[in-house]
Amino acid sequence: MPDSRRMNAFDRYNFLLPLIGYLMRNPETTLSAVASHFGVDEVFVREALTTLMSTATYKDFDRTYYMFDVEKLDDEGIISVWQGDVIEDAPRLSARQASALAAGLSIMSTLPEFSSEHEIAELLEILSEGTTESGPAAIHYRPGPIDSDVAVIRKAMLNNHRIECVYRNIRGETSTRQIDPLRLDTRGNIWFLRGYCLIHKELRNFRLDHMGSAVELEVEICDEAKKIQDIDDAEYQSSETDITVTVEVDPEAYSMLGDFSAQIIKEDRKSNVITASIKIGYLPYLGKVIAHYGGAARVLEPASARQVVRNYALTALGLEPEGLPEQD
Amino acid sequence: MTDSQDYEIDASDPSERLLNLTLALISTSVGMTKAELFSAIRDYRNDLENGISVDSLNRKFERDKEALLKSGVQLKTRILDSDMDDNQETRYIIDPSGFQWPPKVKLSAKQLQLLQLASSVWRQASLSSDAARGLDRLRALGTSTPSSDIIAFAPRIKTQSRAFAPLTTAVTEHRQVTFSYRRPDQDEAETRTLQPWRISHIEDQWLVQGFDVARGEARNFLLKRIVSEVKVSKDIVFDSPTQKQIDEHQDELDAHIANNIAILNVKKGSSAWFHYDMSAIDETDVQQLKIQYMDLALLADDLRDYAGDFEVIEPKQLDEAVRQGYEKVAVAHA
Repeated sequence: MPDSRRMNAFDRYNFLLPLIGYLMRNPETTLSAVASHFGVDEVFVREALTTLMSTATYKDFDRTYYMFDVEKLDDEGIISVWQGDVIEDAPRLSARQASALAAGLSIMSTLPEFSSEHEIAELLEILSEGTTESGPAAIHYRPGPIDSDVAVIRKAMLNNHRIECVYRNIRGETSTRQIDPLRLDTRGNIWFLRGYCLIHKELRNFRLDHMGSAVELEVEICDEAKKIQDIDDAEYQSSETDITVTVEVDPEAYSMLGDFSAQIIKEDRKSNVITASIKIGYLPYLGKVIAHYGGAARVLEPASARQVVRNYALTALGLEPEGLPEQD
Repeated sequence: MTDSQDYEIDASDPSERLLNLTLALISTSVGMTKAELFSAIRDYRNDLENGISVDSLNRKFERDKEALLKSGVQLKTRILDSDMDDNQETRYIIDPSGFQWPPKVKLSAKQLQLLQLASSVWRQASLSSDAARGLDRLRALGTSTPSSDIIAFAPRIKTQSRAFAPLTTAVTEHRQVTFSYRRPDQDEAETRTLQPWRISHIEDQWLVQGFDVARGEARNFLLKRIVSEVKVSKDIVFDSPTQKQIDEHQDELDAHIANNIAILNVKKGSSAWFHYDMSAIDETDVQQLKIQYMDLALLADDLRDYAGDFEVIEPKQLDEAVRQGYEKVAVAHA
């Protein structure tokens, strides 16, 4: 919910315009209905109405534009439009706004239940008609290939059913798992399943590119899974046993900083090299993370982490890995 | 209810001023000059009465105009022949039909819910406030409020590159940009001058596509290889590209991708085997994988995650790129 006190004048102006449009379409409504419709608090809507009532321009006399029944408003929280002038409907979208929403819709079209339907296409059409500037879209989002397990998982989720799959964990161990699927996330082309793991008896993240052969079981998800209401974003959750690693990255490897919620330590403005610390739960995993960038990301410390990365690269080159240095 | 006096807004609330300016410019049929606006809008008038300098009032007006334009409001100017070079006779106007949605457009609760989800993909990413403002405008067209039950799907766009925000501005405002670009086969970055047409997400990468001024042709640039700040020109604007130009350029890129095919042997049951979503079709321990790729160096980066899981059959350059990357990593961590 946006905090009205943190909104600047520009944001406020951009809220007032659609609010006018909404009120012109719904001249009899309530503060609470408007607040819930726009996902803001009632105080904020009340403040906005005060602003609308004080708008005026002057030429020979003051011309006011919006009037509401203030008594009804303050006594009963009812919004009753007495006068509404000039702006009769919500403003069209700016090119950036339309592009941002269109890109979001394109991502959603990867979901099996939308891919064959017309809903998304219809909305894209509405967006392009409602943009102030005509012309090609500023942002073009082409969704990546969909993991074959997505369709199975979505179907199971819609039926409230458990799934069974083969899963290869971060340590490279493969096992058959049963999971009660709760939410699917994507980060770029990587899909994550947030689900209740029947082995660990808790909510866990599963990367779909580590999963295979998912099947829907004719079993309803368990009560524990049903009770899970708020599911946080599938960002990396650090734990006490994590190792803190200092890395430096060139711009080519900046994406790593977001993937690991890195803490930036310093930034060299000339070379654009960023030094940051990341937390990692399973040190051997660092080898592939760093090797991915082919030299654009480098571990500074601890020495054990540097050695893990070097050994990963040496092994990949068919050379003998070196012993780990003494713990520091 | 709370006393309405608590919500008295300061007369100089800038959002009210922006709204007054908008209302004045929509309701005029012939346009208004700056002098007329300065007298019609309370906040400007107060400034003048309080003896504020004309220069600073002019600057305030310029900023307000900018805010309207950035909100997608099509503020038009009409310059009369009688106007010399001091803009005193320039008339400003907003066409009401271009400003607002046609009344026939209505959105159902389901449609709003989908748009809400579409807006949420930008959470914490470059265009999150643009998406949220756009969503508010669409909410106004909603016939009923969507229920809060989500579709249990939370996609997020990743835009780690700092080039994303300035490039979006440049694309929407048709402004020329310059930046340093580092190709993987070169150690030194080169300065590029581009008329950016659009930003594209293809093969899990963000690219900017546009007309490379020095090379005289349309080109693609990966945002992750932009290694400097993107400078957006204040003066050099270009004509919006046609959809045909963009489509032709995209077709070229797609043809290029379709022609780039790598063949790998992948160990069954390995991490790479899972990652590339291969399924067991026979009893052999190694399966062949054919992949199309946009950029050899990017594919090499991806493959380096799976050391020991695969062998590159072709092209040879891919094998070299994977290897060279490992060598650099080994040396950097010696």
